[in-house]
Amino acid sequence: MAPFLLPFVVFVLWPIIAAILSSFQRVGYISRTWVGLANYAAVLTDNISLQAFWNTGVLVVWVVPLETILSLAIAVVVVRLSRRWQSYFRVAFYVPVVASSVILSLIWLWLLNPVYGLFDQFLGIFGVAHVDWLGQVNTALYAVMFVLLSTSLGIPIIVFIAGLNAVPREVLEAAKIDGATWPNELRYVSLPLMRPVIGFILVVTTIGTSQVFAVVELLTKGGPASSTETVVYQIWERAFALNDLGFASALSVLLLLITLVAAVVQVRTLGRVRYD
Amino acid sequence: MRRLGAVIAALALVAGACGSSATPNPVPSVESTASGSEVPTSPSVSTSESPSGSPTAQGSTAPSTAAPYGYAAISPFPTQPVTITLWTQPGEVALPGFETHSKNPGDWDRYLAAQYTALHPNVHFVVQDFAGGSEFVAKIDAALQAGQPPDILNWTDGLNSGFAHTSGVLEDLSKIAPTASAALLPAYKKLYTVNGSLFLMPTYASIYNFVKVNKAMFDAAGLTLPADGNWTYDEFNADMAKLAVPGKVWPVAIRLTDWVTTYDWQGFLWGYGCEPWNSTLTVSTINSPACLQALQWLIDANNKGWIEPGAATIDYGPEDTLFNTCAVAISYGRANAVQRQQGMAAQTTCPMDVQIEQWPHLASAPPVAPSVSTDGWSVFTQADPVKKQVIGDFIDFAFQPQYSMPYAIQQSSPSLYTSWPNPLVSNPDLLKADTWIAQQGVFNDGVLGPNYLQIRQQTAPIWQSAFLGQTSPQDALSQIDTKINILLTTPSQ
Repeated sequence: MAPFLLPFVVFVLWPIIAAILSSFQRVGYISRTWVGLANYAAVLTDNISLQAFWNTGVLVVWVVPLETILSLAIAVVVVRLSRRWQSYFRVAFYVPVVASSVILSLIWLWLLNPVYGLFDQFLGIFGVAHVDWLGQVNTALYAVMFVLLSTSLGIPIIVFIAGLNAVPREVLEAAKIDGATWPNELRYVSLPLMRPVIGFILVVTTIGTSQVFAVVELLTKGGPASSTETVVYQIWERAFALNDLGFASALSVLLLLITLVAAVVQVRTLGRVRYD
Repeated sequence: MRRLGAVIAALALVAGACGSSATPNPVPSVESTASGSEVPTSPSVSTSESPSGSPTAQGSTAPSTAAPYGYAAISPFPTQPVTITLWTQPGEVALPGFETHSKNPGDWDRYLAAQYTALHPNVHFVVQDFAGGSEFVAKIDAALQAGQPPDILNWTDGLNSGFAHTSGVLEDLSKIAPTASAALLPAYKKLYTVNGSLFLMPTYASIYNFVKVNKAMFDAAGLTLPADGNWTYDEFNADMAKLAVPGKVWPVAIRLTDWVTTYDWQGFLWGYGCEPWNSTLTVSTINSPACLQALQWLIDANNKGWIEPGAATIDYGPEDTLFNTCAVAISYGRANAVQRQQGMAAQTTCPMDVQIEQWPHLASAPPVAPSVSTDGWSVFTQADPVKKQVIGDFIDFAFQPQYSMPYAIQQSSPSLYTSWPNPLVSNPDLLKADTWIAQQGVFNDGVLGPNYLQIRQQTAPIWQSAFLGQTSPQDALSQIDTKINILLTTPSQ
């Protein structure tokens, strides 16, 4: 227990406690002053932070279900292929996970460029030119969402493929003997048994999506007009660009609480298999 | 107990996921980025070396208008052992005439330290260099909060001027380094004196707040650029109308992308006579008719197709590509922008003849003078009077022209010290900007004002919103004015 506990306390638990303490302090260059809930009040009255929470919520609401459904759908198709093809698709879908999100974001930045990007060139064929996907308030967040989705499907697909392969064969065979078609087998046997896996993916993607940083930093820097500002981007900017550690800590604690609640709800809802 | 275990496990799950790839890691470990090393007490270079890049050596081209520096070591020099820690961020390399002593970031500071140790063997230096901007700030912040800052910091003023506004953090250099501070030109002394304390001894100044122009595009359109850089808005507007080609050429490229890039476009406001704040940087003056007119001009220019698509989120790379492919004719200025452009010659796909010009201005308003950003040395508060005295002496020693000039020459700095010949003498482009400074002074865009970074960060989305037509210019300026005034009265961190 001790070998685990020591690094956990030093590198995880203590930083969390320190962040919570800092969220009640004004952290200056040479002093710390207790300010009660002032940092939280500042966060909740700061337009950029509120916009960041809103945007993060929108991203979670869209990306988590889409990512889960898309990756599950891909896994369901891939798992029916031969082992050789399964391996091929596993690698293909996992490559974006291995590649740095910075590199992927930069590639997307060029693809979406409104003057010489690939999308712009393609749309130009149809007379639609210079769409500023990342520079318009009404499209920027969706462009970020699209990039996020394209770069984050790998892990859920791998996990779902593993989960589907782990469904007991005898159960599937029993269903077949009972005359279940493939869709029915999927709906009434595989998916119910996959509930803990789906729950795990939902928790992980919710946490991951609520902490989007690199994509935003590289594509939009939170703009235009805060339309892609996310909470973690705000935390970084406040803490490390503006040295407002108290404010950043308050943001972090609020994000932690929200994420924790969401995770608990998801685990309680989907974490158990019910055999009806 | 099981519940406690469950809570810890849940925290671990969330915190563990916090460490996923989506999480930023803005504070690098010191081990991975810093190349800290101790300067040997026996320097490997001879102190009698006469570098070819010293001002004396290049005196044939430099004007001989420099005043004598007059450094003399403190006497009697303390004999007790003194260890000085020096953190350096900029880490410029290959300084002219000192190439062998500035191969890697931090080498130059180590070289200076070694020179000093050769004269005073009881003085020992620990020099560490750090990469990055915000990472360096984070490192300093952490060190300050831990009560373990370095003795000397070689840093960029605009990164985080909060130190200067927090009393008790930095030493007054005019008191501890009298020779260097006496040689510092009055304009810079004024710029870096806060609450009566000189907090920075600049190593070089970077000139910005002007534009770079591809003259070849103007020539091709039969347009003439102003010879003295003095452009009225009427002339500028006429030129833009002629240069713009719908869907192909947007004459001006600007970046409203974030708070970092305000100085790449706000000159268009200052040219209308719009002033961001009063002379003492205590009250916003942004909500004025002049600023409203200027903002409206910017919005209209965008609507007319004079500004490149994506200006609200564009990055430097794509902006440079537009410039290098002649899709735009005017882009961000700054000393390093001109250098950067010289380095991009191979990427240019069209006729290119780059020169710098001032922002356009109304005939009724004065031209927009350039601004400067400076790197330099600060000293954190010293408890030991002997050490403080030695540190001051080391600064006086290090700012002798033979040591300080190479850095300034390499960084295309204007003259900062009476003891310097003009370092820009071989750089006609920037000499032009230096002339503008001599004629018009330095435009104070508030870089040293309290909460300057916060002001830029908080107002950037509002500027973007107005630019994109999401907020009316009147409302935007009103919101910006309110934000600035709140932040100007908020104590710095």
